[in-house]
Amino acid sequence: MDVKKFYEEIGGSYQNAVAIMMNDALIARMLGKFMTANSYAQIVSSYEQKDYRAVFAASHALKGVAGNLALTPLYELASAITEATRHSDDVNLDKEIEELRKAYNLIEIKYSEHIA
Amino acid sequence: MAMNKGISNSSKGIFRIKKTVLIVDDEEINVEILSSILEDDFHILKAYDGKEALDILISGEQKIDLVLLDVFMPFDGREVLKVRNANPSLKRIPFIVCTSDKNIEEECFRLGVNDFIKKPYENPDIIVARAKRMIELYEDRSILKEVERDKLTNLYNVEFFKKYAKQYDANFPDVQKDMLLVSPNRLRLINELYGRDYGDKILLAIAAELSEFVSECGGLVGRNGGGSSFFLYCAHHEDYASLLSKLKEAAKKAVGSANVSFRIAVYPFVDPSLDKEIVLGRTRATADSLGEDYAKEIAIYSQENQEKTLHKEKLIEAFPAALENGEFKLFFQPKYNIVGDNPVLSSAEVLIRWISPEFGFVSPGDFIPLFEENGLIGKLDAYIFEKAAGYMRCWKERYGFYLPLSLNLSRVDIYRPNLVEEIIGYVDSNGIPRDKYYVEITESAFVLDAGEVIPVIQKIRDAGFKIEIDDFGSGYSSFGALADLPFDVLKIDMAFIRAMDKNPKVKDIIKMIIQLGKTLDAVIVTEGVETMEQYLFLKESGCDVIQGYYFSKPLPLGEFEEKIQKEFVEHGR
Repeated sequence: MDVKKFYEEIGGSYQNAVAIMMNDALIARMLGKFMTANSYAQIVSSYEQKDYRAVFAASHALKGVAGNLALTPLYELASAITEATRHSDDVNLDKEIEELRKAYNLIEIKYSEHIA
Repeated sequence: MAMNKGISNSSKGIFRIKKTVLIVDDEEINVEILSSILEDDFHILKAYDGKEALDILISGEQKIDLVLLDVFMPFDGREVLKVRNANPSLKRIPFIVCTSDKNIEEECFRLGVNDFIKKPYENPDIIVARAKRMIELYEDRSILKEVERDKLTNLYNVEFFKKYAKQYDANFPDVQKDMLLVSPNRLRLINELYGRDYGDKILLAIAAELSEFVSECGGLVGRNGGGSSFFLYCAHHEDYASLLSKLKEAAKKAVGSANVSFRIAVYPFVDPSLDKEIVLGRTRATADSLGEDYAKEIAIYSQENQEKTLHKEKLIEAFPAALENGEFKLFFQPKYNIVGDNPVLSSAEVLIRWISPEFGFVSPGDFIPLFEENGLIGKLDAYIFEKAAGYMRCWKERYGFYLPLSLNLSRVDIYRPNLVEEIIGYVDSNGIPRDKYYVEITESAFVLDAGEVIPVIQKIRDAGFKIEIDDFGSGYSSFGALADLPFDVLKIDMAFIRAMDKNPKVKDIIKMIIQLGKTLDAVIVTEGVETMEQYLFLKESGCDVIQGYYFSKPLPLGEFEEKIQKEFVEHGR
């Protein structure tokens, strides 16, 4: 198991992760929970249904969790989506959603490689 | 302190009272991260939406010291804050909002939130420090703090003890636990004799000792506010003898006296699903079962004891009706004067028997100490005294003379106001000459409380009644004390007769007691005489009166009257 490498390869911040969660074992456990949660899928389906309040809520939630897990790319994307949908409905987020999907995929791959 | 090998200890170590933090967030990961940051210092509760959080807070089942509240979740954090504002008991609990959203801060402040923690969480040490500080600030202004602890010892009072005990169960479900009640004996008497400060020093010493005990093995201590009982809920121990000796040491150090004795009641292997009040009740009952027996220091709760206690309660409940229905019967054990050539029936000791339709034959050994403990003995003795006087009057009418009776007075009766007037009442109203009415009291009653007892007995004697000292020689009186005791009859303790055959020295002692009694102008009665040899020895040694199975066991009214008939009417007197 190499938590540090995982963070390096997904563009996250191992330093921040350790500052909050203090040891690799806990970080790995929390990442495990994250993997089974549905944050990304929720954003996508709400977006497809044009439910922008739900997009806001889901991206806000993802922002919080990604921030706590120091998954920087997800955090930044989720923040962007959150701000975009905070007061507006019917925004074009295709690009952001696509980036989000890519970031997510990378995380999944690197998780199975270095942690699972 | 060695822990029993069969018990597993949670990896978190031993139980100490921790403040409780409720973490509310709909994202499990956030809850878990905060929990891992805080769990070393706090007991953690979790809720995943505002409704769940409010349910926990309002139920009051566990004491919450701080709430960490997310805002965006089903049943929004702001709604929770609104409910909190309307509820005084929730307002006493500090709330910290956790959010990444700067815009929310002002709104939350207006809703009364106490502080913020940023998301993503930054520095775990700061989060812990903030939590501690917030709780401290709130404790300082909270009235609850006063209510939670006992003023003198700073230990938890019973209500909070019970709440924290539940926390212990929740934290360490695999640890077997005991409930204990620890109490110094006769503290009230100690306070009266030596002053309140003396007693308080002892209580403080106990509190310190017990606190140290639980800090080593895990558990908590509480005090019955204002009283002298301490409660412990701690990891199971096979025995508490060492705790007992530590307490004695501590008391000795505190007040320089070895006279403080303790009682410990243990309820082992407490079932955590049982209401704590029930467990405490049973532990108290176990302590009560030690009664006035200060020689026994540790009592263990058992199902058997529980049943005994329930049985005692039934007896107490049944008493008033039993008294009215005449279930208490007077029995008479004849006493024979052996001075002359032939033994002559000269008087009788009145004994009480309880024949209950519900319980059958209840032994006086069971009900007399029980009634002495809770004051019912007064009514019973009054009944006996009055009935006895009545019989004496009957017999006078029927047989033409007064047969003296000896009535047992309980030590507890001594403290009844108007006792002497009552007895005078029974006797005079039946026209009995007072000197035919013997009041029996045990030697130990004089010794335990001479200052109180002697004046009352003197008063009874001055009124014209005869005083008989029971179980003489059994007890603790010195020869000097004899000079102060008012008496007309000395009854030599049965134990001497029983020991006589095994130990020849005892015979000499009996002779000596008889001589002593004569010198002091008393009639000597020996009870428990069972054999011809004992009878002959006592006659030779100068004993006046004998009571025992050699002549007759205690008899019910009918049989006793037959005996009177036979002895006096037929043989003449």
